[in-house]
Amino acid sequence: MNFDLTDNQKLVRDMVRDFAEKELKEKAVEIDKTQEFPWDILKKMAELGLLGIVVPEEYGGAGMDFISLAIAVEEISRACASTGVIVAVNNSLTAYPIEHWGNEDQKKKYLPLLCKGEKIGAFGLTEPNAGSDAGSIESTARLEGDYYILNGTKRFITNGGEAGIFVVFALTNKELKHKGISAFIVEDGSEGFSKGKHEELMGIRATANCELIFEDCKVPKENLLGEEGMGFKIALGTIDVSRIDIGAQAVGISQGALEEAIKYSKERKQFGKPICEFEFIQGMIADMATKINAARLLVLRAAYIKDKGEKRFSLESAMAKWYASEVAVDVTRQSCQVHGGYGYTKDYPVERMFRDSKIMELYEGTSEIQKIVIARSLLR
Amino acid sequence: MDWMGLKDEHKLLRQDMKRFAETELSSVVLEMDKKGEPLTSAMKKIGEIGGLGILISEEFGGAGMDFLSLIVTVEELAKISPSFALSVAIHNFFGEAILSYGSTEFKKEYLFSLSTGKMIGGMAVDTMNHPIPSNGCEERLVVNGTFSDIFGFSVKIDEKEQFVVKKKGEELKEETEMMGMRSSGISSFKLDENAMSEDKRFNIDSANDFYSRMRLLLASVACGICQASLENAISYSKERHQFDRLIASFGMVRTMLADMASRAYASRIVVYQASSVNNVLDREIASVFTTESSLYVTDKGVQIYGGYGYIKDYPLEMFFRDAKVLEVFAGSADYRKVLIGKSLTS
Repeated sequence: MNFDLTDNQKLVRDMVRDFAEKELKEKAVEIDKTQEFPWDILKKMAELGLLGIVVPEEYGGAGMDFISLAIAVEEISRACASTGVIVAVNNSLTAYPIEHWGNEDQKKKYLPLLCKGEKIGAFGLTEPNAGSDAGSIESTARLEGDYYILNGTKRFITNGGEAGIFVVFALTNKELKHKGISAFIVEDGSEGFSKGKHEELMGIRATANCELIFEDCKVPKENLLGEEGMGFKIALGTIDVSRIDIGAQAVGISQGALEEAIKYSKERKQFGKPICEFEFIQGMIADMATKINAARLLVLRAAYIKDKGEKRFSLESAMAKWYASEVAVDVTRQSCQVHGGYGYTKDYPVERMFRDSKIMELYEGTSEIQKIVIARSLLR
Repeated sequence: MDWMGLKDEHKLLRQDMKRFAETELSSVVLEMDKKGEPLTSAMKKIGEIGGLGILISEEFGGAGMDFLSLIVTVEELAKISPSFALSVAIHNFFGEAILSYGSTEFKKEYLFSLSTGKMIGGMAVDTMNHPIPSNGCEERLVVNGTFSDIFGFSVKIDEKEQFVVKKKGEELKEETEMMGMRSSGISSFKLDENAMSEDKRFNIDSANDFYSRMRLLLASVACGICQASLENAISYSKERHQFDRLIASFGMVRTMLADMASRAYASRIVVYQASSVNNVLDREIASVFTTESSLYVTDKGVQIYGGYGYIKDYPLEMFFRDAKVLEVFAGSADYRKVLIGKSLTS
């Protein structure tokens, strides 16, 4: 058993941490308030190769492993959870399925755009009536000549308002239910495609979360990803990967909140001594740090299994995502407690971290869905 | 369930407040939370039906009701707007502080206006002071700060707990940006020499008693939040279908509802009990339990709503943020536990 990171993985960690400290920490405060999508930051990240971490170099990516991707997402999220998930969605929910299931033409056309940050990616699966039950989507696609004609509405789409390339799921055969779902690459600006309501979220407020509306939207037939009817398999396979990164995002938020708590507890004096000398504060810090360590190990192990090339890692990625997100909510809450009332005002970053953390238990499958995935793997 | 200690007058009051909250608050509350603006016109209206002088004796124009009446009022308002409930709670508590500690002259000057809402009172909840109220803290958060006419805070001078009352000047104009309770007009001010000039000071007999009563009011906000989150989650779970079933039929959703209900029920019982006895420790235990419960209950409520719990179109998102403050205002829950432990062992 070896827990050491490789030299390359350490380089990624140090580089991204340095970048996040310099470029993201302050920006995070601002974009939380304005809900502005951080385009300038993303352009800089593209130069560092962070928008196509696991994409092979021939398609413009950095050609690194899934552990590096998890490390990068953690380090970004430590400073800014919004940017963390934007990057995770670009990497694992858009570039990954195109790289994994796309044909050569699709890869050549779309991956370089995503890696360079010329276009940002988004994943259109969730619908108003299909959340946890992703197999029950109602959007349809019918082939007419050279085009698939898409109809339907997607909701809660991270990056939706600003993305240029979408992986979208729709039924090509209603009778087959989830086995009749197909996946498409849809470009922004396609005829019949528009953006709907911009969601006002509790946290991760700079993620351009938005509704997507397809009204007889024309998608060239060569933009079908994989084959007709493969959509649900593509969706689940993609989510297995992205859950690792959502876990990493949760670890990053938690780590940021722990560091803020440690810093504050050393500075803040009460009754003539720093509050870190109080036992009940030490208890909270120990609790936070231990949980974060466990969550990080679960995340890295899931990424390690994926890197080894194992086909099945749903169990590991669900465990990582579920546990890390529960830890994020607990830890950010505790960090607010260490800060006392200050932790509730927008003058300290823990206020934002607490709001950001709650989404972790909801998207990419709620905690309840993760538990079902875990239990079913074990009961099989 | 027949709630212990509730008399007919409390039940009638609850009905009145429920009606008031539904007609005056429900249509505006989410919008005002987004903007971070106080519900000042509703504040005026609740004054007209006697909601701002609940504890003030009739000789000063109040309703002369008991503490449980205020608890019931706050709880009921909090079901629709925790922020507004907090404002009403603090205004009433400020009035009571004047009634208990103020000079006769001072009472005559202010209590009539406070009872009717001609004047709004604010109060420092001392959240900025990490472990303990009124001791060596430099900055205070004042509930109703931005729209009150008069406000109070406590300080320790020569080892004596003093309640300081000030007419509001410029100091509280700026709203402090908060995660939740965004319609309570919360603003902060620095406690320095300047802040202490031109004021009235009264001795507080027992700071512990004083703060434990304030915390019990925060706990009654928490009770309302718990109750409303539970009711919302129940109705949502009976409307939302996933996997061709109502989500209310899933075991995990049912256990979440059961966990929420147990805490919501228990919270009301401990708060009512604590409000009916004159015991600081009972109040402290009740408020720690209830404020922590409200974060637990709203967290599960958001969970049942899924993505819809994270957006500002539904009340759960607001309840969750509002609940978080209750663990920190007037001394953080964690520190109060240390004090409870100390008093259990002394």
